Amino acid sequence: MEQFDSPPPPGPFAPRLSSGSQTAPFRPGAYFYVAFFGGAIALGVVALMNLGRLSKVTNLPQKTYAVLALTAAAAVAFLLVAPEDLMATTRNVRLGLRMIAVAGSIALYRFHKGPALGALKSDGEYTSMWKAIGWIIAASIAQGLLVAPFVLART
Amino acid sequence: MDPHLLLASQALDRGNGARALSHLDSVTDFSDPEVFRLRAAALISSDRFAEAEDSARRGLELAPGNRLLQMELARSLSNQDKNAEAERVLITALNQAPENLPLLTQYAWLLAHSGDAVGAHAVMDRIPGDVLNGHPSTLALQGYVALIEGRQRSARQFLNQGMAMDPESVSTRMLLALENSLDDKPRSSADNMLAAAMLDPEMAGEYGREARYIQHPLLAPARLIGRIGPAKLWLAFIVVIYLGPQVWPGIPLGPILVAYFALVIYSWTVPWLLRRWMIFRGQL
Repeated sequence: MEQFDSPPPPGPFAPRLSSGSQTAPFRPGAYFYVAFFGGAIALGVVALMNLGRLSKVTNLPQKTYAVLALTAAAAVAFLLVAPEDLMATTRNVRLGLRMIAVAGSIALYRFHKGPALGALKSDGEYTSMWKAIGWIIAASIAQGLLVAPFVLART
Repeated sequence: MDPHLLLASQALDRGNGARALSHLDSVTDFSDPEVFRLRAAALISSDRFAEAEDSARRGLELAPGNRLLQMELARSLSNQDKNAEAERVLITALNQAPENLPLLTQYAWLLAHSGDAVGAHAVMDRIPGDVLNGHPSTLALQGYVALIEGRQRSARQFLNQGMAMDPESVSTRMLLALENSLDDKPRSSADNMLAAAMLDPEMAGEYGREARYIQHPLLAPARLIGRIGPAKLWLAFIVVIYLGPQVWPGIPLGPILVAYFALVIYSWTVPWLLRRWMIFRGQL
């Protein structure tokens, strides 16, 4: 993550590339499925894991953090201010949170698809999202535990 | 100049690395560093990158600081994914000739291919604007950097400008194919790849095979998801599931549910399996 979006200083050229092998990024198109099945926290975990694997593009980390913050804020606002009759069934709560997470995944897809393409290795393959399945499951359980008190308090 | 070197150089200009190598086999005087440069270039053109690296290094032993040999060495290294080593070679050359345009362009490409769009921009800032906007190769560079920065509209403009200047540019065609694929336009992507295959006989097989994979009939359902967009399809599915029974009480929700999830699972698994199957069969 060092020198993520800082241009080199003028004057003599200095090395910017590290010799360590880097992992190919996850396919940003798969964010949608992570958001749909795993929820907003899983989306955040995967997007942050991917951020270090993407091309170095000006303001990309800031845009990513902003989208994740907005998604989290929208999810909390939904849990706090959604009408009582909507919160009456957990199905509606799950649907509402999914809609918010999917909206976040669409924004992240738009910001990450170019930088992910630029970070592909010579074989042109993305890293399979299945490799993050443990993190996705853990994050979706965490989301369930965080949401449960809100739902119990309002039903 | 040895006539074999001239013939090798002409073969390379036509993009025929194998022919250039056969001419170079007849060379007997190895005191000229140009022999090693042409050999390195021909080997790169034939995808024999380790041998190209060796040839460039041997040339540099004869002529240390030769810019053209340094560039071939950097090309052979980056083609072996040794980008940090390639960068060291280019930086050594650039710190001796900071305004050398081919070196600057090659370094900007190296950074862009390594995923460092910020660095590539900084190097491009050192290239005069008229050069940057006046050549198909530098327009392709700007197009690629814009593409990996997520500025697709700018990328398309640069690439179309480059295509207008040189309609036979293979690299611009391939970048347009990449841009199309990013935009979920598989047909345009395949068309550009096939055009590139026709323009570059050495790469015809590879580009043609990739185009065939993209257009494979088994990928039609996956292309449907790509064309509509997974998010839009899901939103439509949610609308149908939740509002369908109110608007149309007899709506068959079960089959719709099964069809949607079957399509999603198909789009996850079949492209991956098909690519591996085609590689296994030697078709890709």
